[in-house]
Amino acid sequence: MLHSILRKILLTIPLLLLVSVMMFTMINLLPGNAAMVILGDAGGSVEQLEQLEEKLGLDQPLHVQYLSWLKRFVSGDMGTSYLTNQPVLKRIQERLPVTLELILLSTLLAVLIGIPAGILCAVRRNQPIDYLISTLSMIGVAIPQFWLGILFILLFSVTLGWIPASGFEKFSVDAARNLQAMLMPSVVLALSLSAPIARQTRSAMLDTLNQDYIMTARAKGQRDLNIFLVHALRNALVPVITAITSQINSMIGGVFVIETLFLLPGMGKSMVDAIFQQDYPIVMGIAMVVVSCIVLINLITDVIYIFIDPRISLSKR
Amino acid sequence: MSDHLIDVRNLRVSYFQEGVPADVVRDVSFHIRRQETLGLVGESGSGKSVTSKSIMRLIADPPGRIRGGSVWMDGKDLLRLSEGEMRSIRGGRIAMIFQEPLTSLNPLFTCGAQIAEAVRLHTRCTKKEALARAAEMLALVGVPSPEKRVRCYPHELSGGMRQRVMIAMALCCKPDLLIADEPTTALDPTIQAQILKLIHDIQRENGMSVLLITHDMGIVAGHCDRVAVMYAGQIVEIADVRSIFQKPAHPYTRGLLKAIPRLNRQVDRLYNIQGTVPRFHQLPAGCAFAPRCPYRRPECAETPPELRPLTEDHSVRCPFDMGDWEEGL
Amino acid sequence: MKTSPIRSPLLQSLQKLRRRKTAFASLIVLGIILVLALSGSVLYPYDPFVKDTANRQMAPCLLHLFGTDNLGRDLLARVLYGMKISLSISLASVLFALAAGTALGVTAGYAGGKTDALLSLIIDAICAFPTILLGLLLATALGSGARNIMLAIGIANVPYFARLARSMAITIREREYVESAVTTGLNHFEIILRYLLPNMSSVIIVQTSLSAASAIITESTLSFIGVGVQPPAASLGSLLRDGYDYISRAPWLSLFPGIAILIAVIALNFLGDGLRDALDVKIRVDG
Repeated sequence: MLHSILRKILLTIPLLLLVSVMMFTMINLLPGNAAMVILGDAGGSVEQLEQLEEKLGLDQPLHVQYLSWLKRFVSGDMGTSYLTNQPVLKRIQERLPVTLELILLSTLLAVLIGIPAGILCAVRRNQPIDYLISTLSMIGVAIPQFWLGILFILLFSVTLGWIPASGFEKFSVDAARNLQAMLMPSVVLALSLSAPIARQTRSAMLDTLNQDYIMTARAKGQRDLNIFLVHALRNALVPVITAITSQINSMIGGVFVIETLFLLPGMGKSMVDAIFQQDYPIVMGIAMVVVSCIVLINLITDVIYIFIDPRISLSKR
Repeated sequence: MSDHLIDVRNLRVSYFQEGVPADVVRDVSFHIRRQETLGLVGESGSGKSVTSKSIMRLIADPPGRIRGGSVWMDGKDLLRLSEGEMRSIRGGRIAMIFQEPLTSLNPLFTCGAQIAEAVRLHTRCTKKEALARAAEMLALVGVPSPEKRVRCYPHELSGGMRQRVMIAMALCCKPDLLIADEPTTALDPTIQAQILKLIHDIQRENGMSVLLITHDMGIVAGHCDRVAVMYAGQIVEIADVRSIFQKPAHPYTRGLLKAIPRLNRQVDRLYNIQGTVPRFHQLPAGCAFAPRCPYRRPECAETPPELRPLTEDHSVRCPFDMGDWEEGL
Repeated sequence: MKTSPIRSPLLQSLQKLRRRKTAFASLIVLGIILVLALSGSVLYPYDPFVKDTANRQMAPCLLHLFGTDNLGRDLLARVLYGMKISLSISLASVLFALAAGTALGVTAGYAGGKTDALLSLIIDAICAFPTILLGLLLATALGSGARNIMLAIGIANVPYFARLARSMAITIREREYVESAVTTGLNHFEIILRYLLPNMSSVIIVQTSLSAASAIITESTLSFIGVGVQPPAASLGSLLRDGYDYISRAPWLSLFPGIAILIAVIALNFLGDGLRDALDVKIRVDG
């Protein structure tokens, strides 16, 4: 078991390196851009531009630039913002709590809605409640997150006037206002994530309930509730966790657009702003953190699988 | 009290496909005596598995439903018990083992935990005591080093060992009836013999009855006291094992017997009953076996035959006698 | 007696699809959407670009079924136009992903060994980028615009096709008829063309439909953020972006383009599910 976990950890290193190379190449496709951004719209003389490029190392070949960037990145130096001269690391530290709060709240809500809904559908298969939830989740999968956000703003802020669409405050400064500002974004994100989770929980549960060992458990005289909770749910857990983690992609996308829509000062909004301001160190830093997190989460779920299912460490080499 | 442990009367089970019912078990009646082994024989799809699951009320509803009949045990109709009463019967007085030992055990729990679960459902004891009992049971069914095997997951054991675990689980509460649904079909021939002998030995020690479901006439000859032959959801012949092999009264039984390979007889080709089992949605109006019957007569296609007694212990669902058949040829 | 003619596999699949009512209905809905979006001003009299300052922000009425925007342009005409752009972007990006992903996957699965390990690593690396992030990064590198988000969505969808094609290639490669083809002296390219691709076509058709649905969502999201389709062109997402500024005074601008997205995506998803059943395909739905 330890061996297969170690193997998985070692495999992520080339993956992260490749990802960083791809990202670095993408952002530095247009040379000279950075220096021009710093000099601003006013521009500057050609000499000024060249001096700045030399100072930033932009005159070096791309692979040299990459290696020096990598060296600094590993030692914790992600560069400074072109516009504010603020260290990128500091910006991320500032914005990360907001994003983490949003992600934690919405994932928690999504799991609390999605898994019970999926189980309910499986248990009451082909009954009205199953059709209702299945229809809702089908719509939920098809709705763009930002449009669901717009609908919420339209209903709760514009029409009913219950909650303002924006107005963020730090949790430590004003907890009530913080939660109020977080409410709509996290509910929107949670609803959108719970739909695919419910769908996959339903099919995983149905799959499991058809297995022979469920019949064995019933033949032992076990009660239905225990069969669901003990025998079926644990077996369905692997596909359900896969369902949750496969939503990371959609979750991160959701963070970018929901933070922008609800004006939450998190990493997503920071990144979108930086893109329009062409503030490359910020873009690169945040993107690298996000992608590393995704790789890490995938690694952690792989390890969780090994603990849930004793067969995995054997079968997957 | 009679010596009947179980009395199944006029059992009728339907499966619904898109709202349309198909009777997969039709008017099935038989009894199981105390301490005997009743073989239930038939091709796949003949309704033998459904019959046995109906006794324990394990038919998944939907798509299946028990629509009529009764199953008597100690003066009570099992089909009319409450779900709670039925649960204490399942695993307690009637236990079941299945065909596929690999998929019948939950892959995520140790064998010991799964046996202990059955123990704790029917006896008051601590987890520790239940696990000790599980190890005891494993020793009884001939699993080597049971103390170690208790902590094994099903995928770590061989097929034969898994089936032993299943038997241990079924027997841990000393049931009166063991339903064995093709217990050896998925196993190697040598392991098959071992498992059948194990069931036989335990049966003699505990004095339980066994309902052995199989499609293998060889197993029937070696292990059963009486035999019920099923075809298309009906019992077509039921008799003691001697009569079945020496005086088979139904053309289908004859066909099954001809299909057994024998060492002492030279055959070019194994006998094969012509045609296939009819679909339950398109059963013929008369005798269900008529389309495949080598001795059929015009009237067979019209009136469905009744089960008629030949001797006290031998009934057949065919209106003609042995001699009549030969004429029809 | 007439003997029934031998039906082509395509026709058979279409007939199976017809038996699945929802899938067939969604095929019809998609057809209607396509006709409406492509016919433009032939069927619907308003031009999506003509400004009418006298009729700014008109609520939906008989004259303008979906109302008008802040410049007096007819919203229904703009939704139809936006639908055309959104569908084209999604289709083009999925076709790109299909071509690149299948090529990558078949090569990896067929070649095996080190080539497979390297290509699989690249596929995993692409997978680590959320689609939206990839879109934002490419917009940074190449600038905003329809072409670049098309590329971003295309690249982001490559892993889905590549993984499908790879696993199919591995299983098919080991089948006997491919082995016998190898012994009769066909070269690799011919084997791939003649045996591998036809065998994986149904799996890929289903994935195409499902990917097209998610591509519409991604396109609208990127356009809403502002790195997608740039004015004067408009997609359903950029219509929502423009309309959001007027959400309290002209809420219909935030409603109708979203409903259009919803209908298109649901129809494509249903079509994918129906095709999956009709072609009897088993796709694992995970990352």
